[in-house]
Amino acid sequence: MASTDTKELLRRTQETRERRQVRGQGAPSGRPRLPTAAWVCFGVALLNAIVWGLITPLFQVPDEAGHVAYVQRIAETGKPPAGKFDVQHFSQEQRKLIDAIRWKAVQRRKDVRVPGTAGYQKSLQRDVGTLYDRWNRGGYTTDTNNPPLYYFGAAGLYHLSPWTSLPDRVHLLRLFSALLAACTVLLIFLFLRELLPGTPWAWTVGALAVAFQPMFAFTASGVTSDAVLYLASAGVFYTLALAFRRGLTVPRGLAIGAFAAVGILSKMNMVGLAPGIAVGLIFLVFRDGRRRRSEAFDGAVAALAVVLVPLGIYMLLNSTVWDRGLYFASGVQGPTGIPVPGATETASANLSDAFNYMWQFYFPRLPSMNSMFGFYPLREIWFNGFIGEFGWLDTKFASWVYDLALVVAAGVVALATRELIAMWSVIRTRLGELITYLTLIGGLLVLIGGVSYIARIGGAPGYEQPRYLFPLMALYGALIAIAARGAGRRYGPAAGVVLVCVAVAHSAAAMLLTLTRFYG
Amino acid sequence: MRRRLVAGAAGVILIVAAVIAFALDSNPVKAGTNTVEPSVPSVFLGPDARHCQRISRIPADATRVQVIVTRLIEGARRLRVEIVDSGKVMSSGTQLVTPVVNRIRVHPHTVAARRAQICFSNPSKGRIAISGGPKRLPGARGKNGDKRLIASVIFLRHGSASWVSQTGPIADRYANAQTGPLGGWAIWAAALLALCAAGLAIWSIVFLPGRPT
Repeated sequence: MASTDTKELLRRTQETRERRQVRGQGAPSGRPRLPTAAWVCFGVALLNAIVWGLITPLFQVPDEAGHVAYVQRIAETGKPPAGKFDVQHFSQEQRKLIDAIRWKAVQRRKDVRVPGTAGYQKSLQRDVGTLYDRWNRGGYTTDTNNPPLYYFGAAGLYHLSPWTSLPDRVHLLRLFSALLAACTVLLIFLFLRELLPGTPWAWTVGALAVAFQPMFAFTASGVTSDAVLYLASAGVFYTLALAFRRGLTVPRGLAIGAFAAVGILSKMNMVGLAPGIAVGLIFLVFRDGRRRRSEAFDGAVAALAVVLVPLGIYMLLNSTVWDRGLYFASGVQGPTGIPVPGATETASANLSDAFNYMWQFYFPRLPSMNSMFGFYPLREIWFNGFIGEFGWLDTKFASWVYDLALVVAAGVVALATRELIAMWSVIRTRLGELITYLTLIGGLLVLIGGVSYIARIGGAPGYEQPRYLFPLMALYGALIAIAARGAGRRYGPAAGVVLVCVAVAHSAAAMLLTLTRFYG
Repeated sequence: MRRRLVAGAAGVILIVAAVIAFALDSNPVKAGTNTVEPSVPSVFLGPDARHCQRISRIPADATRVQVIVTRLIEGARRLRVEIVDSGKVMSSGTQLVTPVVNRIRVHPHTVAARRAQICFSNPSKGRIAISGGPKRLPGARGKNGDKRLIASVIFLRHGSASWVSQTGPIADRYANAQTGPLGGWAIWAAALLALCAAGLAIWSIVFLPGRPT
């Protein structure tokens, strides 16, 4: 199998070069069409995300109320919020809506359903039909530190909406998010096409597993800048894989930079992928011979320029026009001078504690380490959270579902490991690519762990969620696709069918759980 | 192709089984709650102690009151619940309790009331801790941000019902929570779209790999 893949890799590389030469001789220059399966994955992800948007009540996706306030601020004033602590963050219209739907009574309280009597409906219609002020003062929410790219796009849609009441506009914005989720799945399909060129059926399996991952679809269907972050990170994975397989050129460098720029101008978490992107570009430049190295170098410079120029413009606007900090609106806590509640002196982060914390945040505690958590984060935050914690982390499956999921996950990991061992000779020829993906993972984990560590020193309650890892969904798709291949040439496609059906069953159960939690 | 077809058929059976298992799962029928999440031990009852808290709305026809007992200390075993309206006990019940979820039967069934009280007492020895959370105090003090720890209470109706038997009320509640162009139709549209997504996905992985790309 290993040699077949190497041959396939070689064949496709030669094909690409040949195609380039033929085009130069004036042959038809039509762009290669996407396979039908790619459009199917796109359509499935779109439908699935629309369903999540329809069944989740308004503002019950984490931080959605803050994101909507940000969109409304830009739509009504043209400026992103400055994030000041002493001014109102919601508009009068949003405050009235939040009161009318009894958001605070329902949020984080799993036994409290949304109100739903006929009398309530009349008063809700009356409230929604009343004209209230739509602008807000741009006060602090957990979302105001986000860069504004997603919100400018959403604000445009807010104005294009044929309906003017806030709930209808939020539903339209959720459709926009569903479209972004579908594009993310499409990019993951394309990433898998580059990663596993010899196994077309596995591309569909991996992409569909992502489309039906319920926490991904639930989060990405809400009004949230995470939707653009997921798209941008999937794009980075795709374009890096493309460059690793077909060489780094200026257009590919521009594409890598464009996705990175979109991510970094939408959410700070993209910074976690920056070391991986840098390592990838370095490998791409230095792996080629001297003749092609200059072309790859131009591609890397193009990538860097596409990130730095818009980032510079954004920082300039932030500090001169919008009355915000350089990158964040109201700044973020650094590793020193951390105010501790109930203490007069501030605290500072230190390296050994940070390492200790981050290790236990993601891995089993080593015997020499002091216990940092009263629970097991790998299982309770990351695994259980990935399987399903809907609403504001308040809606969970019965505990046996997580245990069952652990068994399924163990099977998937075993199959994937089997395949990776079988493919080791091919992987060795693509070591640079592997190191790039590992650096992308490591960078994001360190960023999330670091932010969490500093927040805990400051006495903040833990609110870590697996959605912070969704910029790595392309690798989740790869894991599922590789696991299906691990079942062997004979049974691989059938194993892929079963894995997708398990994902569909998981998604259906999650939707029913959400529906009954809020309306049951 | 045959193996993929067999796997697809098995997968569809798995999906249908998951949906049916969920739909037939029996749950107590909730009549209402006091919207307090049971997050911390909030009410502590010593021997013969009584704790009363206001309930803004008592639902009609509730037969049980669900509370979460966090701890039973020094042999405490029984918990008494009384629903009091205008100084008069409307429904009451006493029951042996165990740590975690307890459903205490009350007689007679509750009558719909507003601004009533629910009182807990410990008729035996020892101490009982009931789970609850902070809630803003009624009146002017609450506006200043004053909160008090109170017990989390859920009123349950007689028996239990599967989700499938509650399809009508769920659809009604959903419809009544929508505004504008969205209405009761949206939940059925969501179900249809979910079916289409699942069908399209299974079709694509069973049949598309055989076709030339």
